[in-house]
Amino acid sequence: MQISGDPNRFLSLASTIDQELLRPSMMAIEMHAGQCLYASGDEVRKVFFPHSGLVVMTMSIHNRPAAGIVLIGNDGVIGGLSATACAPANCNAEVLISGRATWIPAVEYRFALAQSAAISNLAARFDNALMAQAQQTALCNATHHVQARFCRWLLEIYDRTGSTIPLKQATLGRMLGVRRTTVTMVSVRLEKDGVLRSRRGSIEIMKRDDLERHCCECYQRAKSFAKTVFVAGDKDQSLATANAAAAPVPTSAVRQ
Amino acid sequence: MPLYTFELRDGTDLLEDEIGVSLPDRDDALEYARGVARELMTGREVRARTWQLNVYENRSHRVFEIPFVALDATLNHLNADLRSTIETVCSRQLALREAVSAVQITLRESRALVARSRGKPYLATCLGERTIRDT
Repeated sequence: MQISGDPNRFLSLASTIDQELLRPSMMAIEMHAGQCLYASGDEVRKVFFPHSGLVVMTMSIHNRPAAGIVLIGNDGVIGGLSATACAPANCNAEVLISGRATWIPAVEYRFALAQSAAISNLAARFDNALMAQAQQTALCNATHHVQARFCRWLLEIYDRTGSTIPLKQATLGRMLGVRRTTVTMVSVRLEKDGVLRSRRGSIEIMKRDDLERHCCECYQRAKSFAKTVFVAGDKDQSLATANAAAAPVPTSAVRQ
Repeated sequence: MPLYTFELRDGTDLLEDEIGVSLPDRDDALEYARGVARELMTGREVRARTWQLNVYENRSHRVFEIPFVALDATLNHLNADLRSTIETVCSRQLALREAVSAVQITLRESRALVARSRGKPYLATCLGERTIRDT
């Protein structure tokens, strides 16, 4: 199965042999802004690998999505952690920006993890990076002011989608857990400083460096941690692959 | 429902939310505006406590002026007199910052006007704002 657009990072990091393990059960999907891939408490039956677009994991309060926790673009996997644990979804997966993805059934994902130590290792690294991003968001929400947090979100989105961010201020407000007017005031301030240009329904980043200057340290911390996880993982990968080749296939690795 | 719009005085500019929100009455508008002020101030109280949020009804008349310092929870441990003094200082500090900002803009405009009258190059815009304002 072929899909256009940028490759998903997980799939591109998987070896050719591991890709062949996943490929037979892969399906393509168009993700539409506003679509909910799964809601908190749902059984996670699919694991998504975005190639474009952006998905945000949100937590709900009073049965309404209230705040964004992590962003996942073509640099991540959606539902992998819950699928591995056979656990219900611990948050909502909402499509923020439309795009394309491939998905495989959760049961096939678990089978692939059991079959290949390399895929298992890769999944663990992605889960680790995801957890780190969530933990950084928790710290950021507790300690940093709304302008710094707004800049962090814009940078996170910029890195995944480009300089024009097709999101309304109300949506960004919901992600930050603040009122729309608060986002407007912060946005107008940054616009007067020449950092960005706000349009109805979108924000254009004019000076990325200045945006980074207005941002809190959480952006760089999360970014450098993710980099470290993947660099360290790459060093261990050859060893893990070699060990996996020598080890027998586990008895639990049987298709359900 | 009336439309409430907002204007933030941060010492250098008037930042406006021209879209506004429709709310049932002024009590809701006040609660909403206080929420906005708290959200803007949290985590940077020392800097933002001098700011003020103005609320307009149906884009016409100002119905509330909310000084951030009045909502600053980090000052709750102070007695009423001391708090009142700080609120007065914050109000004056905001006025002073706005005056300094206005002087800087006028200076920049004056330099540009003199340069233009002498046929020399001058700063035409600064961050998207015309240096020489329309009369």
